[in-house]
Amino acid sequence: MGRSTKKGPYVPESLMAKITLMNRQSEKRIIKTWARAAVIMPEMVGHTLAVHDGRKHVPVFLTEEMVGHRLGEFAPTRTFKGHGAHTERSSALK
Amino acid sequence: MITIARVVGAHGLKGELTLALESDMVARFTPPLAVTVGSEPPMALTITAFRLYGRFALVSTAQIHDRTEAEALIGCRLMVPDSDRWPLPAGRYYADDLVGLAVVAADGRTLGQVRRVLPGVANDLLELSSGQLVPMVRAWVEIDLATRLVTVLQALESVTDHAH
Repeated sequence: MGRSTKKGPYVPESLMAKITLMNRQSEKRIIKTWARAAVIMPEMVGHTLAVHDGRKHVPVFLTEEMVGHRLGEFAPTRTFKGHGAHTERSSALK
Repeated sequence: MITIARVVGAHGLKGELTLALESDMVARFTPPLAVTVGSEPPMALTITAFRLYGRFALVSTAQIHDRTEAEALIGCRLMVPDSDRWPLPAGRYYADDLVGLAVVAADGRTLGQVRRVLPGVANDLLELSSGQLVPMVRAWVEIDLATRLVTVLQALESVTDHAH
């Protein structure tokens, strides 16, 4: 069964309070969080949250497309180590 | 030499190879393509047909005509010379080009070097020699390959713990 709509999306109050405070002060700081189940809210867009993956905090820059998803979706708990070769794989600056 | 694919299996009886691609550019496999197989001894192959097959690709070559020959290559890498590396569109970087770049903060402080590039779901990450992770997004970094410099635009230090 899904979460009751009466409650609204799950976001820890302490996390939301920090985001609200930073928005009010027009500040951008990384916030370390263990709340992988927290839903990304529109107020969080543009901030960077360091989401715990079980071992370390993975910095995730939050964008509009992520709203409604949960933080844990962007910090996988399993790491692909790669094949160690000099390959033609590339990374995008988003 | 750059690895562009790995042979992970043989397909059918006519010597087709199943490849796991190690390149983001599928178009670079357009036949005919000359590659070197990292077998012992190295062997030159010409890819004559290419098609995607799920998350793998199937290729035919001019040199391999039966399954036994194809099976002998399982585990080998298909490589091309460094000079054949395809140019990337603006905003994309080869991980090898980023590793070793100097990293500075917006105020000019030295933060170290890029140790490696970690793939991420939302954004890739630059791991610095200090162990810090920096999101590879425009709001965070400016990359200048000409001067071999990465500028981190936001403060890495200002981390607020959110424990609950």
